[in-house]
Amino acid sequence: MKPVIQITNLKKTYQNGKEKKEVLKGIDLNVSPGQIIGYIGPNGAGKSTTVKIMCGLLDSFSGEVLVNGTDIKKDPVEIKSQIGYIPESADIYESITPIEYFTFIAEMRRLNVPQTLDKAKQLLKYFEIEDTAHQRVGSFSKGMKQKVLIISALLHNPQIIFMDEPLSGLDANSVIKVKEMITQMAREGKTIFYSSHLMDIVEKVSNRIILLHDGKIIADGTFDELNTENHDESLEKMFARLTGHHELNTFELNPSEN
Amino acid sequence: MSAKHLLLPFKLFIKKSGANYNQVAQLVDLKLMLDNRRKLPNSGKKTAPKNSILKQALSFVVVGVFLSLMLLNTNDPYFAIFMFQTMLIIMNSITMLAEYSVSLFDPRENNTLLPLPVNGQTMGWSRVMHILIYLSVLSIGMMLPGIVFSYFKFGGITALLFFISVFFNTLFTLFITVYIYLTLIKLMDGEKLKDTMMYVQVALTIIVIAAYQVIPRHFMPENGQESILQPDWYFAFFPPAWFTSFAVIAKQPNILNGILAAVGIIVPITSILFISKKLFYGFNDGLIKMSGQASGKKQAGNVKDKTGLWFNISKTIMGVTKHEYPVFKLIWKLSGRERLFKQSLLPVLSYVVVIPAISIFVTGDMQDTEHKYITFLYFTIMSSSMLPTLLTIGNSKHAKWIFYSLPNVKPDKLFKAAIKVSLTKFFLPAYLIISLPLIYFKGGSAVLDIVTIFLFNCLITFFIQYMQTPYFMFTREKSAAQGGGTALKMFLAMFAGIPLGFLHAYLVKDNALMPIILLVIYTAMLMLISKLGFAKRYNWDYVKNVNNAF
Repeated sequence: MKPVIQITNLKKTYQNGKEKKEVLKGIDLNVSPGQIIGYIGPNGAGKSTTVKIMCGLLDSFSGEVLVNGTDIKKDPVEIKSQIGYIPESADIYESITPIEYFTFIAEMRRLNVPQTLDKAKQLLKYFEIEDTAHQRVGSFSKGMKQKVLIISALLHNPQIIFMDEPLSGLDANSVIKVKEMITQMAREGKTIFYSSHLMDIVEKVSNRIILLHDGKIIADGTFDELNTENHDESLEKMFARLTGHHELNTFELNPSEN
Repeated sequence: MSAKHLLLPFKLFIKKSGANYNQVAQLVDLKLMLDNRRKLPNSGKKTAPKNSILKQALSFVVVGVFLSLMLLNTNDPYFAIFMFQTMLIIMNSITMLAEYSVSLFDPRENNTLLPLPVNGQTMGWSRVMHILIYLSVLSIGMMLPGIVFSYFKFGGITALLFFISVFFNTLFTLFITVYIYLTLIKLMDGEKLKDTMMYVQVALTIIVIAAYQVIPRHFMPENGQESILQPDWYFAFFPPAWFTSFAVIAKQPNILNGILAAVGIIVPITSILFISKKLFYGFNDGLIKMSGQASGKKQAGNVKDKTGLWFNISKTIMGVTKHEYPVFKLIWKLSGRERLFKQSLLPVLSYVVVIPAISIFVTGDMQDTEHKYITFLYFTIMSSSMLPTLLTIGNSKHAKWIFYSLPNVKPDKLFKAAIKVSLTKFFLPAYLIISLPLIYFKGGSAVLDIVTIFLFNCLITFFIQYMQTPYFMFTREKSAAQGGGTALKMFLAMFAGIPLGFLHAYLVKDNALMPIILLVIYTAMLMLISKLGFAKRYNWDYVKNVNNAF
């Protein structure tokens, strides 16, 4: 089956004055349709950077990124119209209402506005925030804002969905709902690229786990495949072992008092 | 120099009020450091240059030089210094209202500072002293030419006293404004407080601008007469007179000047004592109130989604295209709700009405047989030229990603749509308030001029947007380091409007066809800049680089 995402030798460097920091050091990756990729790694490993590059948000990188066969450097607009993106922080204009935001998204994506709003209302109901449809986002909790973002990324029925820490701020019930939603979308043949550092969720929803460390992929496979050799009890323990933090250090809160 | 040294003159006041002097100094140092690390408007650079406030002050010197040139032939020290002090109060008031009121209750550091053991007085003093540093630099910048002028014209002692009076004048303006805001904070809460503050700010700006138009005119001599100002008892009601009397006391020693000079010293000092003793208590609560953290859920309740008739009319007037429409609608809605933007825009917009209104209706220029009203209508560019900068002001700096993540967003259309909103939703209604009575007084012949000058305003707004660094709408926070920019830019725009107005009036005077010719020229230029210029200038690489979204 032809991969929906093909990444070849992806490198990304950030420059801060004279300092240069190489965040991605040559990533090669193929993703097949219908896969749920759990993209994990410690803070600063380059997870969000990879996602932003694949969504066409960052354009100064080297290597080749093809999404649905389209080169992201050549036609980012085409790719943006095919994918859904849920960012890690729920930042929307605070004075806008969810319905206004969804209308804007529908108009920009040139969707049928009434139909899109019907869909949005169903999703608002699914997330149990339908009463807030006409209230300012500024009055929402972080979790409610995150729900708005999740809905807005799904309005155009994208075949590939990039999620960058999508569960940030969500309560336990909402997390279950998102997990169900992800599973359902995978059944429909959609590809999910799920970037997170919450191992238990990734372990449960993903059918392929990619571990990024220091800008490089250091593990790639299903949990069972990755677990064959070392027999870790959980993804969390495997993560700690592979990223070199297998011994949890204790620290003294008030060293001077001892 | 650290704040610990800069604030020494206030050490006694700070300690007496119950604040911690060392903490005040540390907080001011922190604020100054953060200001230097925040982006400046129109710079496109990652950090503000360290001497940005000095550059602003240097620009204010231009204003001072301008005034000095106007008063070059004046031999009366009272008249000359009175004009300078009036100008200082006006410019400082506008700067305080338009720029620094936001810094006073800036909630950005709330999460860091409020959990620390810092009391309200300490926090209040640190905010006010932080503003005072900037305001003093700007004041000295603006008054420096006047002080030099006084030195040569009226002697060293007058110049020295003038220099000292500038500080009292600055303190007076600062503490009176702070007094108004702190009183409001004590009286109100939640959204009502924020809205009231915004409208009080607009009202104060209108009063200040009206005073600027009326007071100097009142004291200006008739043609041919020498400029002499003889202080009278009623001068006690004009704060500029207090500071003027202080500056000229050595040159014109008399009881009235002595009393007025004493008032000029007593009022600022008692304001400081009163505010720091009585109103700085609970300053921390004020910070929480202003950030909306006090009421828990802020801005709850349904919002009206529908756009009205004026939206449809505006869409048609501005020829909003299919591509521009979604952004036009979004910005239309957001612009009515973004408080920081409205707080900055409404005072600026009030000038559109106040200055021409006073010039045309109060001073009797309406009855002229020529086309003097045209010149005054050109003054409105002082507001329209500010629209592109003001549109970038807001608290939504993290919302930029929305525009990048969507397909079909063209940056030129994005900025064009936003400018069209600002022109029709805000500027045009204010412009109509001043134009419609003109049609009544002047008849149908004024219509063409009014339309032409509106087109010229559109042209200026598009041109400024074209020249300006393209920050996204409502994404740029205010920094104290930017202070004074609004007042200065408006001042310069106003003076740019005068020759243009005269030229227009001269051209249309004896030529019936000329208004139509001007209309065609402005329209052609507008089309050129909005169609070709914008498309050529804005591309995603440039816009992304400037906005530094990720």
